[in-house]
Amino acid sequence: MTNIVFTEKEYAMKSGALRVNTGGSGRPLIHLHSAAGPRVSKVVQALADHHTVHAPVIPGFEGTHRHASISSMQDIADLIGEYITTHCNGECDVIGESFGGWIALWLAIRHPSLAGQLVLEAPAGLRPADKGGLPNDTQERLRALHANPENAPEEKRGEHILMTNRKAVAEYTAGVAFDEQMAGRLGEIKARTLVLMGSLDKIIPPESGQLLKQRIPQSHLTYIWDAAHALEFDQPKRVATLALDFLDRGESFLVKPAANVA
Amino acid sequence: MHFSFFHLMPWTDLEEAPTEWPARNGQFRGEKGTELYKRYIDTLAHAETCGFDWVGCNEHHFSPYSLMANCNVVGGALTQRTKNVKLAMLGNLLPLLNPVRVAEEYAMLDVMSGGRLIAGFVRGIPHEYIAYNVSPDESRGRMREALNIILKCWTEPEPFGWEGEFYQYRAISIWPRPHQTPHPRMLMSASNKESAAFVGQFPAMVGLTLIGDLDVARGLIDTYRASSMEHGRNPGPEDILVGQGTCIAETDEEAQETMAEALAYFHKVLMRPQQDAQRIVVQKTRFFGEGSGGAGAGEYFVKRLETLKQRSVKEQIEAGTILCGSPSSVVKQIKRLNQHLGAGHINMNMALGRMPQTAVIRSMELFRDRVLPEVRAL
Repeated sequence: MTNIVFTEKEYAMKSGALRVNTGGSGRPLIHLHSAAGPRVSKVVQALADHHTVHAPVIPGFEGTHRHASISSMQDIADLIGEYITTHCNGECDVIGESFGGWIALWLAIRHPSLAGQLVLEAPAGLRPADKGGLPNDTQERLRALHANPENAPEEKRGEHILMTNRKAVAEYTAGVAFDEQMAGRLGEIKARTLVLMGSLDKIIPPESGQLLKQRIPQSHLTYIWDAAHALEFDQPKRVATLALDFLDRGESFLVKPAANVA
Repeated sequence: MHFSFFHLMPWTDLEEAPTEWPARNGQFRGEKGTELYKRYIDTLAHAETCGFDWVGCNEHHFSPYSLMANCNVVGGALTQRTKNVKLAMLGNLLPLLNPVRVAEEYAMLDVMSGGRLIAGFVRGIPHEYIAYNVSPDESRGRMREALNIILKCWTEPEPFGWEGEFYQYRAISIWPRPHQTPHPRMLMSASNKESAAFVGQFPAMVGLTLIGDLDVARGLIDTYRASSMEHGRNPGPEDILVGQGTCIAETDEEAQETMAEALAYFHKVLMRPQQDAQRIVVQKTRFFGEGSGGAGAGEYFVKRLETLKQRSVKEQIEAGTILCGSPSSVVKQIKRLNQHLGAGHINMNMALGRMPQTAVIRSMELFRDRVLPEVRAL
């Protein structure tokens, strides 16, 4: 994994300005951040070794302005669709972390021609109401996010930014754990999809991954061993290896290549 | 209490102890092997008629000590030779094997037997790691990861992949799934505090074999219970199994004489070749954790084997490490184990070394007629 520099730029979209961090080279890939906001993890760095990674900041996160007409997860998916149309040649692969995975699912449902392949990391939005969820207690929340806390990113952002990020999540998701409308439309997804779940994830339960595997026609479900919810930080190498192999080889990623094949 | 009849399936025709490990196999004879397998499987099937709740077997490699490189093969035969007795595989040496294959074979045994499998998972004894060229240092990590894969194999409703430290699979969906739901009853062995605490992290019974001292065994059981409770389970006596070499005869003297001859062959001939390989693994690797070569669990393992080998039969009876004597003596010994350890299950190895088959059958039938009626209600 090389240390690729990401450049930040604002793009004028129909609904307002969209900040996007871009880095790397190769086939374009959209990276949709989690409820924690955008962070350049080792996984994002590894992806940028092989792809031009576009990492939009969802309006309202990191101190950016909300767009008046963007109020739901579907609206965010439409905004990302507009960005893919105008800046990614009209189609690209998408990877989404948790909250970002929820957006990616709506994108694939509402704009099937724009989403190439999907990688969903412990996607939110399909959590049975009586299972999982984010603990309120700070220490408990950290334990639920990180099975390997030594890999957790150092938090350099101020409390105000973190608070506005939380507010944006609450408003976009409207407190919904299980998006019934989305669940009913998963069968429409045409994109080949890889769902990654942490073997120790207590926030998004295995049932969410199982439902996606059951309903998305071309899908694969893989558990990442010794990872809690924050997959990209707990097991960056495992996540990057799997995501890159899937994005590169498509359905052939099921077959183990010979050891001497590059 | 519950009881199982356990068989190691030893080779009985060695006149001299092999001097190195692995023991040379030039003296193995196919006809004798076939005869032994038939006798041993007949004996295990007979155990069902003697009131045993389980019949058990296990896995060992490259040694006349046991002819069971894969106990699941024997388990497959037993599914067709028995009707109600539980079939305890005690167990597969998980860190050496492909966990998906273990999940599949155990599921087959469970379905073929109508849900009678007891699924045992063990790390094995140290030298087995040389046999299958797996680093002993990786033993605990492989065990933990493989157990989690097997539980997923048995319970996941959808095909799934696994990206781990030791194992990677892109798509798994075993057929058949086990007969028992959510999965077969599991058993894992514990020979030191670390492993006792580890077992408690899983929904599993604990099994203690080669007990050297009842107080140490009690400590391991306490550790297992505490760990289980930390993980939301409250194990009872039925979750604690203790392994015991067993010989029952009409008189104490007769039983002790038969046991002494059997143990002499077991320790001095069958166990001889693995000693050097075992020592290398214990001293040069972290099989028993950090510092296992000089202190702690590794040292305890080696000392325990030495102690067991050097004790007389009477000393072993006194120490609570074997059951041996007349039916009334064995009843007392079982009651003592039950009281001291809180164990609800005893795993009896009645075919030790080259104990004559007549003596084995006599032990089994005395157990059925004069021991079991006295201890069943404990």
